[in-house]
Amino acid sequence: MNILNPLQIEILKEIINIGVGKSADVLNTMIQTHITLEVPEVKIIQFSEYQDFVDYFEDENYAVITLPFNGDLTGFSKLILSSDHAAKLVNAFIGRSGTSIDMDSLRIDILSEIGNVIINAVMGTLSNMLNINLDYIVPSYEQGSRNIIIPEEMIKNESTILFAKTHFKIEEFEARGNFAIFFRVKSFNTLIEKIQIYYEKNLL
Amino acid sequence: MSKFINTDLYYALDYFPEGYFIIDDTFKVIYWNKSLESLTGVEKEEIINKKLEEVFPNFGKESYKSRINPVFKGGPPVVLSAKLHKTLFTRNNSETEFYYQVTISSIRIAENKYSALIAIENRSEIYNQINDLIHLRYKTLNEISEKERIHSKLINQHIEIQEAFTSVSEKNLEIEKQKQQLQELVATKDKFFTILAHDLINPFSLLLGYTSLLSEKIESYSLKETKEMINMLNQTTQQTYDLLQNLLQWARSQTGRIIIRPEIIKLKDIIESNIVLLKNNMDYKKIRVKNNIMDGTFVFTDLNMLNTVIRNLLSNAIKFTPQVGEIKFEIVLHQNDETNKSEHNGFLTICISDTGVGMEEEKLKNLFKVEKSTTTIGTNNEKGTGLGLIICYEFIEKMGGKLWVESEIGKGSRFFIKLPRYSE
Repeated sequence: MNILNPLQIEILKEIINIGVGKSADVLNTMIQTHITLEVPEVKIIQFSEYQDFVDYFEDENYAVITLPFNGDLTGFSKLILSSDHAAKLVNAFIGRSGTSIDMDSLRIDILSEIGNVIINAVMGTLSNMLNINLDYIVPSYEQGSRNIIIPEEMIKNESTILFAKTHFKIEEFEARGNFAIFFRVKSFNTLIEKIQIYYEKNLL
Repeated sequence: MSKFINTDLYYALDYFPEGYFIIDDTFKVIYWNKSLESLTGVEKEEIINKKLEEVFPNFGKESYKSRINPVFKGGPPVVLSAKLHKTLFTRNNSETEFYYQVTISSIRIAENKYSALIAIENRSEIYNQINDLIHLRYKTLNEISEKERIHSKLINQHIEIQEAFTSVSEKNLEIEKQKQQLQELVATKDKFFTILAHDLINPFSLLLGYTSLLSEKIESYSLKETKEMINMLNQTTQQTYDLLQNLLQWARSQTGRIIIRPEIIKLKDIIESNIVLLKNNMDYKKIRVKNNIMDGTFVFTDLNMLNTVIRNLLSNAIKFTPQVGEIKFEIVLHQNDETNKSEHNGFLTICISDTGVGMEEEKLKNLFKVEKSTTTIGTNNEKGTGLGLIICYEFIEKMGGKLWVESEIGKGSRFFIKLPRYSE
């Protein structure tokens, strides 16, 4: 199995960073506040490392927005927030204070839109910059323990995952979370190929 | 890559309960399903082939266009939440808000050509329910907080009332105490005037009578008669002097003018000197007196006050002891625990016992109270003021000691004095 070399990982990080940056622009205009982004992290995770990966997240309740994608690449884009931070993030959009309000369907709808803005920007950037054709399914929302972070289908297939993650923060509302893309292993060759083309075309 | 969508199949969307419409990349409406007609009040004929913003102006805003445009390039679906975009379907000249959850997905209609399928889900009812619940929750929380406020106010008022009650009770107690003190003062004053009016007048009447007789008719009396009269005069003068002395000491003690000067006193000697002083009275009634106090017994107290106490108690014992009786001074280890402890705590208890007439329970209770005290005639018709025991009680208290009495009718009385002892 081919894996990404350090240069390819750097390019992938850069593209994700640009995408999240675009999503930040959209969100900034929606709530007139500043979103801080950290440099993305890209990891290859074998099935045997799943537990370690899950344990990396705090043991609490999570709200997760998932956008599955098919086409040249297959996988799942996810916005992962602890319930507490999800509530803070929603409050930032509806102008309410307090954090411990249950996620009713009104709040879930808003969180789904926020997730949609971030995911769309990253995935749009990825597909545009690397010239990848993707089909999308309507995003879904779920909440539960940290065990919902890895897509169930990947657990079932014991897939190796290419995991790209970035951490964002909205200082004013003390809200933070992670954006992650889980690529299926069969996508790796295409991804490497597309990154290589991008590199040769734009960076050499 | 997915296949193209057959536009002929759009009509199938008429059968869905949710609202669906399709726009091309110029935002022109190319399909409008049946459900949308009732949902938005816009008929298919009214909107088909029109640009969306012509009917719903907000769709023309750049913020929406920039989010929707990628869909026409096959980009990911766009979600517009009902709460944040409630005016999206508001028409011109209308302020109506719609809680529609909108999902805009890309549909591929030809090679590199996409339209946007817009799905509308009406969330009005569920949002209204949520808003009602949120409103109810806030109302309930407000009511709880109002009830808590009232409860806490009531508790505070209850505490204030309790404090006021306590304060009133304390004031009542104080008033009661002052009333008692006032009664005592009135009783003291009454006693003082009674003594002055009665006890002092009587001896003076006697003195005036005898001296008048002697000055006018001394020649008519025999020497024996004259001597008896002079003896009587002397006795009355002595009694009056004793009374005046007691009265003066008592009055001084009442006004707080007596200052205690403790010194080391040999107990046996002070008792002996008082026995000598009142020897005549004892001899007259053939009363035996025993001073059983050991030589080495010392007390540390005021000499004059102790002298007054011993003299008064001995005088009382003589007064109420019939002929051939006995009076005894001794140190006792009293049965009372408190007194026993006191023996070890630098105190001793002197007992003055007599074989006199004794006293009944009722009299014992008021023996040391100035407002209740009465004088009792002695076994030989000796008179008193009822002041002696009150002075004794007050002096012993001032000396830091204690005076109490045990008595039984017909068997005599035992007076106990607890005083600070002095150990060499």
